[in-house]
Amino acid sequence: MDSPSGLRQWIPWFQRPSVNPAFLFILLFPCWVLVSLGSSRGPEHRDFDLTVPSPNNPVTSAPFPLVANGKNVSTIRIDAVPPANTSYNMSLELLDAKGTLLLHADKEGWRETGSWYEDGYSGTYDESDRSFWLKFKPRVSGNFSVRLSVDSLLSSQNQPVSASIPVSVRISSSSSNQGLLFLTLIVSFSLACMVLHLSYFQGRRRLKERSDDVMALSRKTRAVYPAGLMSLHVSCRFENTTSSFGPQNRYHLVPVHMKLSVIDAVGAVRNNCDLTGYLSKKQSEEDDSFDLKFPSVYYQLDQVENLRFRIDIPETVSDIAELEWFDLDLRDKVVVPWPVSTQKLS
Amino acid sequence: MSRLFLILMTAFVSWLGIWSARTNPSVGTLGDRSTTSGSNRSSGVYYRGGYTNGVWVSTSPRGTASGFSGRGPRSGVK
Repeated sequence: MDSPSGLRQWIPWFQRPSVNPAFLFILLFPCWVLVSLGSSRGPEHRDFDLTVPSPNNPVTSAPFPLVANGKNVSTIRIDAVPPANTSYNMSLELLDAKGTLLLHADKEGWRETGSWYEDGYSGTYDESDRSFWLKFKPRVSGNFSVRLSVDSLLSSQNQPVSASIPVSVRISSSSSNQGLLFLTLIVSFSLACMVLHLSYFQGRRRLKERSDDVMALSRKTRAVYPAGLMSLHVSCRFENTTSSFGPQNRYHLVPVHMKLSVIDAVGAVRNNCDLTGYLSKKQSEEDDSFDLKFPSVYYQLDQVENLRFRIDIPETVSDIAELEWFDLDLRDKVVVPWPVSTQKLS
Repeated sequence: MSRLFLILMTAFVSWLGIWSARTNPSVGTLGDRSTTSGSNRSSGVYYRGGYTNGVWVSTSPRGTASGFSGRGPRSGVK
């Protein structure tokens, strides 16, 4: 009889409670935000360079269109370049196509330049407060214009000054706040990752211990395990006992074979599994040791079983490394999002 | 319990972020009082008037500008 292939070989897996892809749907939320961000349009800008000819002598911009749909946000940003060492009061009026006043705002600005001396050092400075912005949603679509005027243009000695002030006006219109969408994407994705971390590959920890005695640790795995998926993860550290793996030769890989046996309550071996890992030299010059991580092994238990996991790992490897410690992480009731390769008990 | 809370938080944060980004609820519409209340007062903008029945009514200027007093580079900093 042919073995099932394709989707058919996955279907029995999904009937098991240990395989539950449902929580993957949490990723739809950050995807939703990502699609919103991708479909949003950036702000459209319109720039004007105006010059306020003299105090109390206003200047009006050319008409510019704004669209009112309840969502579009318009921003008027003003950047003035006043003469050095002056202060002023700038008045901004927003007018519609008929010249009706829609908004009127004032902003006091100043600019000061000079030299500084401190502890034998010196330099110049040019500081100012000359920019401001207004944000609003238009009530009706149409053409608008901005009228700017300056009054109280004074010198640093509070004497009236008559000078022109160049002003840059930027009209921006945006239908969505892309910065907020990007922030939402980060938060949403982080929360989704936390949900996935809580849901998958964690299970119930039955044994998590570090020891230099492999057999003693193996004996501690004797317990009654429920039906379902179990995971066993082994990592260890070997001490370097030779100079062959010095700083000039740190990337050599040496295979290490580990044998895993599952023994039931009556002492019968129910499963044998051989794993191969590779010693990898740590980058640190001071820490002369090798790290070794074996791939995780999964066991599918169809019923409650009294089991022990016997681990055989060499104490020394080719006379170049000696086992320093051994870390075992054994879990049951593990849930995975998709079928994983498992060891079956005979 | 914590997982359910996180799932609800993910859904709520995603919805709130998209809704806020698309509708900009903090920005007022011309003619509404909220237009001037949500201004950038921190940058020193003062609205000269307000809306009455949706129509802008200007008020008189606040007075002469206060010049350099209390502003500009402080002695000791430069």
